Amino acid sequence: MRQVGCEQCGQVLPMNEMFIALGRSLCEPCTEAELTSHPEGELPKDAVKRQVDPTVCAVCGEDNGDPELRTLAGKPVCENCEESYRNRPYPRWLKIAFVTLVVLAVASFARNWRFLVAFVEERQAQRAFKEGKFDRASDLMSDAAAEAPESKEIQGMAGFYSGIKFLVQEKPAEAAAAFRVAKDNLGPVPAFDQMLVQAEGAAAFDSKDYDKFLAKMQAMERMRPGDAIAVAGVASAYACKYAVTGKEAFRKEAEQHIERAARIAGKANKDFAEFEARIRHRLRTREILSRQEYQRRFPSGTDSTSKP
Amino acid sequence: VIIIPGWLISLATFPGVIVHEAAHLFFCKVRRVAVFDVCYFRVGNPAGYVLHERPDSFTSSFLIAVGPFLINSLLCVLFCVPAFVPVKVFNVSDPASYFLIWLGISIGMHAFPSMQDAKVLWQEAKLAAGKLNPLAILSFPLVIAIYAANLGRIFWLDYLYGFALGFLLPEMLLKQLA
Repeated sequence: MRQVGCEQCGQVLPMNEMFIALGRSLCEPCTEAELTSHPEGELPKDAVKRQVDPTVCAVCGEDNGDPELRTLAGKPVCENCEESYRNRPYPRWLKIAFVTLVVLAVASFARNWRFLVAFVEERQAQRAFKEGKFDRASDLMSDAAAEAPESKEIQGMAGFYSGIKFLVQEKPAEAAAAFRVAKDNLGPVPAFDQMLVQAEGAAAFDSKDYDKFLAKMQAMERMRPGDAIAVAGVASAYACKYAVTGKEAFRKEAEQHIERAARIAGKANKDFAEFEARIRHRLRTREILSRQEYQRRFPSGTDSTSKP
Repeated sequence: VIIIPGWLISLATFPGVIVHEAAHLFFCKVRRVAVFDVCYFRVGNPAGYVLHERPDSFTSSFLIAVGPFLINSLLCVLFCVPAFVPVKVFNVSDPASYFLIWLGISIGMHAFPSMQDAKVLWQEAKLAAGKLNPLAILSFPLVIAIYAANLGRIFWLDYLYGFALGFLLPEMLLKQLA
């Protein structure tokens, strides 16, 4: 600590208790006396200032002896006080809040991880579906649905993808069940409704329930009145009824629907041509063949006996 | 444009203010810049502040001014990522996820350095650029961007930034990963 003598009264005091008044080093009483001797308004703004002892910490008052301390913002500070300014601690509440929130975020990651997995699987399923890999798309979407059972959308899409997979595998009953799941979860979507009716019709055909098959094909025709295959589906159902009962009225209905479908299809529609040949074979022989069986017997696509 | 008082926005998104000031303090500590006073949050203007000595290098000034942008942005993504998938993608009502989204977006909203940060950075950049400091020279367009971003607050740019960071960026990244 440094001592300084008052230039007025000669008293020696610690430097921090001294002032510089009008350029002179004075103690407090002498400073007051000096200032009051001048009329108010005559004194300059920096007429008086407290002296600062560069060996005493301005924050904690620690005496550093003779060596001068480092200054911070113009004031001498000891190492401890400087450190407290340069490494100001975070308040306790902030540390606790931060740790709590990070724990919450990590817990949320763990808790919602299945949703992230489901999201990734859903995206991969969509990509596989676009690439025509229906089995893989269905499996991935089913996995996603298992990860996120709360999501009706994912459940519905899993049903739809499964339905497509079963249709491709020629399992219409399973496809119909899957499309029903899609419909229950996604609500009425025209494209899904058509797939459901198509699958239900195919399932009815497989189980030889031709009344139901006819009803479904008629429903399909109402949904897609301008589609040759949909109209031909009704012809196919009537042909089945004719094959089973031998009633001429069914045969006539079948013929009329074939004529109408042919007008819609035009001449270049290969799918319709194959379907027409199969229906005509059914009407001619009263034998009901599945598509696979027909294709096995007639690999060229047409029953040669049907040719004129 | 909906005009809502700044103090009300600050109050509704106070975690972002706290994180912003804590980030200033973090970089002051890292760069050993003395801090004389900190206000993490108050109802007023500014909603928070860190009073520190003038840094002795431009790098320190830069980090102290821009640090909150990095920290707030990072925390915004950290809090929003686990929450946005169930809420946004799967429409699952989950209070914990809603809380995290509010927290994340609040923090993201206060990522932009303030006008005061920009002013300090501008002054320091001018001095340092005179000494051909490359970071200072590169900082000029950044300071202009900070000013523009602050003007954009009138049009909810800060909210849009938080939303984009918390909601759109994670989805985009996850889509890329998938």
